[in-house]
Amino acid sequence: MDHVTYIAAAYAIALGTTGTMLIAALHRLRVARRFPPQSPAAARPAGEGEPSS
Amino acid sequence: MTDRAVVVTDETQTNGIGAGNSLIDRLGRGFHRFANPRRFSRLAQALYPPLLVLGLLVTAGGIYGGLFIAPPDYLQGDSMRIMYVHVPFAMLASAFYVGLAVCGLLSLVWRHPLADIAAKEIGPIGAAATAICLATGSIWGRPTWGTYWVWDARLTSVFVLLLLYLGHIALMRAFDSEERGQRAAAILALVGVVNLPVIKFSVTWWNTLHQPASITLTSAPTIANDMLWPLLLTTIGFSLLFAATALVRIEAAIVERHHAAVRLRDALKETDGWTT
Repeated sequence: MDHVTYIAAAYAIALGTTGTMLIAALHRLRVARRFPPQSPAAARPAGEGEPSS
Repeated sequence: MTDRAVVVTDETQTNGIGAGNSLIDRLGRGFHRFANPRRFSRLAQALYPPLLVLGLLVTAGGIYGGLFIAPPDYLQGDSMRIMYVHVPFAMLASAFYVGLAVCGLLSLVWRHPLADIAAKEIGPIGAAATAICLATGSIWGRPTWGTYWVWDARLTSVFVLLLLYLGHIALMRAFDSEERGQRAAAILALVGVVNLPVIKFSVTWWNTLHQPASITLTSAPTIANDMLWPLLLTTIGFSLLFAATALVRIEAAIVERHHAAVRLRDALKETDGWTT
């Protein structure tokens, strides 16, 4: 293999891993902010699981 | 539920930090003030966008300089250009481990909840930096040394650092009680600090295939300026990008824990409503 192949492989590993980690972290934060917690009562279909009187 | 994941949302929580005037108490209050989850969230939200933009620009400039402007080495030729993605990650691998150890200290001494969250989020980033350092170094070794790997002191001590990171990640998740996992991981992080001077001085203490440092704090760099400035740029750039990644991960973890705490509170309220 020539030097260009080694250089391309090293840069692909470094930039690929850095970029993937960064995008994954931003996506995780976006998902966490987009879906705030729902109360169990709101999450249940109407009428289901309510205490009987 | 006594888990610290729940109490993390309480801004007034003191977590056992003393009210005295001793150095330990003052340090504890100082760390606590700056590591308060809500204050940290505000700081992270303000910091990570500029870090990200600046990191991308500086890294791009450094990579362009390293690939197209820096001259080839008289001995190694163009394979020297791997240095611009190898050296920054070698520095980051050690720097993030120092961060992990500081978090471990804060967790063990002051039982700081944010320190545990930060340690859990920093661990995988540090492990990634170490893995990139080993992979790019190995690729650089093939055209330079004629082999991908030798068990010399520098390579072995960095490999041990990767194992420490992996052990920390595993310990964090190995116990049913999150708090016990955090404590065990914090102890491992502190014990593992002994490996950092071994990494730093391995090329001095032993005869290694790995070259000594070209840039030190105490003497002028033994590298030409045309080769040096892209290295400084990529080091700063990747550091900014990794710092932004760490801030985003910690912020995401705080939001997730806050949501989990709200869900738990609502569930408890509803249960109380049923029983009374």
